[in-house]
Amino acid sequence: MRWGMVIDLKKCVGCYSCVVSCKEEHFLPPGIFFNKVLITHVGKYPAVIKEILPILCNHCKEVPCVKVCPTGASTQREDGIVQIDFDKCMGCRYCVVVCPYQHRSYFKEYKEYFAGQGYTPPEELGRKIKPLQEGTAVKCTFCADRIDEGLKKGLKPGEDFEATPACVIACPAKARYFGDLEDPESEVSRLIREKKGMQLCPEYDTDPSVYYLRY
Amino acid sequence: MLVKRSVREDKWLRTVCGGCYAHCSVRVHRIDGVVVKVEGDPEADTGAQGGVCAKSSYMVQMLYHPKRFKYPMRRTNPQKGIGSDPGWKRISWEEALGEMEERLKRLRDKKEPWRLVNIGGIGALPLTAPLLGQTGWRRLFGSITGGAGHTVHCGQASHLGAGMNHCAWSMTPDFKYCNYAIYFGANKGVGSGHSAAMLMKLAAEARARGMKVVAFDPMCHFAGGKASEWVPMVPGTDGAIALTMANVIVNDLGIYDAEYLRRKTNASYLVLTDGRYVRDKDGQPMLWDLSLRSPKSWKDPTLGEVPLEGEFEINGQKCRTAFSIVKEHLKQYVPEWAEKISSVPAKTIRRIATEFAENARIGSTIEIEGIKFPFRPVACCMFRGGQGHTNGFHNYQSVDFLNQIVGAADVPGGAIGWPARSLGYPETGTTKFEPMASKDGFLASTAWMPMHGTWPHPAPEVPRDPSLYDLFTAAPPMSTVPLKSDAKEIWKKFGFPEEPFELLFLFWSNASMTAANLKVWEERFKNVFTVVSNAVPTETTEWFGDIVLPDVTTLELDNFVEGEAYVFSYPTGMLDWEYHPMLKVVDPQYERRFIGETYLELWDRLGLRKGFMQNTANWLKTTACPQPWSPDEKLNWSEMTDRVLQARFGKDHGLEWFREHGFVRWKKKPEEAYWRWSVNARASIYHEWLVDQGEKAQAICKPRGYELDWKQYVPNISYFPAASHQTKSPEYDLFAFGYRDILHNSSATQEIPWLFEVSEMNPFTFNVVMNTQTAKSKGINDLDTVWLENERGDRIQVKIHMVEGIHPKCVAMAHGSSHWLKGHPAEGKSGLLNGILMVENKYFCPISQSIETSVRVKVYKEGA
Repeated sequence: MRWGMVIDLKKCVGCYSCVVSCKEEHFLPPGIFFNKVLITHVGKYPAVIKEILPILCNHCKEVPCVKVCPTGASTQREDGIVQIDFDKCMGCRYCVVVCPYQHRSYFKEYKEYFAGQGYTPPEELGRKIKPLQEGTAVKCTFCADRIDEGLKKGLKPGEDFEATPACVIACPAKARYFGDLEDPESEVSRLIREKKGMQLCPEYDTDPSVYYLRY
Repeated sequence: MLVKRSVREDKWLRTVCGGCYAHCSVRVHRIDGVVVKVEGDPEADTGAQGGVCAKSSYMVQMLYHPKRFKYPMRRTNPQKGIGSDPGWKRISWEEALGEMEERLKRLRDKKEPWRLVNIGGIGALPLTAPLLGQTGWRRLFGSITGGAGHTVHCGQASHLGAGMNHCAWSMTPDFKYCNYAIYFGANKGVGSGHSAAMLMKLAAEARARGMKVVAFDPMCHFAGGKASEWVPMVPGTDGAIALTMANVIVNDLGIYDAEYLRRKTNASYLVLTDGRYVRDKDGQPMLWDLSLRSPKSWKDPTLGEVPLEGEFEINGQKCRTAFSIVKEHLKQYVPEWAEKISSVPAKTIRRIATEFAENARIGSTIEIEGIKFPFRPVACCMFRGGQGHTNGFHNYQSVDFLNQIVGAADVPGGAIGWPARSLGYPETGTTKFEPMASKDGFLASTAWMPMHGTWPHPAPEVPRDPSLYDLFTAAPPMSTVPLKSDAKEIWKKFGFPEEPFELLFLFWSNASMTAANLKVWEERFKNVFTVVSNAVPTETTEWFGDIVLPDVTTLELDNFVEGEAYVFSYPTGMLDWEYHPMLKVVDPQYERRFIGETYLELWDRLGLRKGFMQNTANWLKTTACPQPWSPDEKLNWSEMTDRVLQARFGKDHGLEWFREHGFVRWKKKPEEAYWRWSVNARASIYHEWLVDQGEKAQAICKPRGYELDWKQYVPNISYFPAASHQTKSPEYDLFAFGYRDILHNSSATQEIPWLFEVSEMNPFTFNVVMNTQTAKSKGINDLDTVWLENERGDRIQVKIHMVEGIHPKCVAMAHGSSHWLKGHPAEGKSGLLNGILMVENKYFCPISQSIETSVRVKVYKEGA
């Protein structure tokens, strides 16, 4: 069992739903993103292509951030999800530096979304039910809590809404897929095989769990 | 160690999104009474079967915006204007309503009800705003409804054109079957506009299976960025390109759907030398019956085969078929000419025209659920951008004309409107409506917005009030006149006072900023008693307010009206019917009240409430809804919602049922989705009505010295250079225009923190973009600050981001941003196009009143 994601770049329209839904799901404070979207123009007028690239933690198999963690806060689960135990994390940020994809962030402190006007009820509630720890490294969790809770209820991550990562279910273009990379018949495995899914910057030799289908 | 607290309540509630007017179906997560997240509804097609776009997040942060109004307030500082503190003082609802009532009664006693202007934002209430403004205030009281967001947002010419030809508010490719689509200034399937999320899903699937999209657009951004082929063009020249393609297809290639043209358009109608139809003694247009060799009315059931082309003589008068006239008229539009105007290479225009015609597969059929339909897997669509010009009407018609030529209108694969035909909800037989043949045999919709009809357009009459609706009878009646900079001169010509307004009601709107332009707004409304009902302060429009009322958000409201958006946002093509009312998720706090409730109370005090209840019931009846209430009943908005749901769907399907299930779904039949050949009515490829319309309008206007661009009142769809092409001075060398960003819903979303954060991440949203070469040639570097100045001397200061993917003659900005309030998060972001749009009467399409949304500017740095 190795959880993986496929993002179809032909389908993606760059609506940022993945970015914002993730923030809502995890009550992320200002400035912290687990999902991002990169947009640029490539080529010279009039032969121009607009490239849109949604990115997130790759939950790499050969995982550099875990290797360098001095406290053992960063670990990799059996199912491939790379996670951080923020009780053990001391905020040295070695992992933030070493990730070749720059997908980790250092969370310094909570800030108000409406600066100087207090925390809104969702912000307050979020700190109580899904807190981040100030002064630690943070990153995408592949919504491990949704997956684990879902599996307990007998649901299938990638198929059942409730058990699937928030960014995957949020996509209106249905450009994101989630499933078991080690099951050759899973949707993600078939897409990678049939449509030549590629990993970002394979030269980093980290073997990401996130694949992209090209335009 | 942080201990995570456990929760007491963890619920998902169904409603529709209020992030924009698409109203995608959503589920809202409420934990311990707090709304924390909006997710899509995996069971609904209104939306993307679970997907939502980023704008949905707006609802959460708007609900809890710290600056939300809590109580009614009155200004204590008599000086209105940008930047001056109104000095708000809390008052009671009774005081607020009492004052509004008194002022209304005074207007009524004076018999000058048009001194009241009502402006409702359609950003979240696309049907409710016109219901309250038109079906309510205008019909009951005689007030004027002004256009809000009427500049870079709305589509006067689109709605007019799509209404006439498709009986829908807009058109889209039938993504399920379409193979080849051409977009002109349209973002179908890339995040803005009607059914935003649903179309994103459909378009993505179509793209993945190989559907080709050619996007004619000045910018390689939303449409251009996902197109198979981006074709840059000069703004406003869409008609030149489309008419040229029509010429290539009809005259060079000789390809057209003769059967469709004969039976489903006025192509075979007989036209006299004065441009008007041959009419029988009952005034009905006539066609030539080939076997009888004489003319017959379109209504005549014995009418046989008719010719598409030909010249005839009837009672000594020469006449030709409309198609003969059109065919000849098209010959002037040649690719080399179009290239000079649009900058699109002649070769490209020819190629795309050929590809479109060949892909149309004229003559082919497809069977869907046992029914055979013509199969035309091509579509040519325009929405907001292309029609935002002084040639808006003709531009839009040119584009739809391509669909009409090949018969690709409301058939599988073609350009389809939002659902215009319903055979009824099976369980109760209600919710039935369909296009029908009206005046002269043309399509008319019964399921229309609570505003006006699609057809016929009443003959112009001497205007009875300063809205001038009576003159612009084809235009959707949100009057643009109050926002014209020369309105005073216009009103003088028609015998209206130069300052006609005394009372302004504004709700869910930031009209002072979303209307073009602010100077005119200030002049027009500064001395007008203004009541603003908003949930969150815009901090711009309220500066002009005398009374502010604290309104609700869509999460705090039960509202059936937005469920009635059949031709506006229902699932298209073969996706099923789904009725989604807006449903309350949390109760409003403090003294917040929905404007609908405020108006009901005022109408009650004025003795008009019964009239509104009956007007609304009458409107609902047009889509076969049984009378839901006795007009005497004093129902609140939730109760009205409950009644309508029960009336339509049965006694057991009231509000409580919908709270649990969210929506009602029923199977769409193919003859509903693809209704064109089931309805015996026609679209227009020759606008004969404009001959009389123009003559009558001129007879009214010329003696009063009111000039419109009369030459556009011609029956042949033609190319007229847009106002931005008529600049004399070469100094103003660039076209500035605005576009709708996927992240924003006009100005409403600009300061919502989540959306603000991602806007800052995006290289386009908060920057004004210019072609790299153009910028360099002007000595501009990336992120330099420059002035954009129009010929009037109005100017805005913006930051330029250089990109390759924009036409060298253009400079573009996302709409809705650039607040002028110091310290507002969106201050200085992007550019306020409305600040430089020219708004004299001549900058509006003379037929549809679309405003010219591209403006010629000169660019320079400070000190240059």
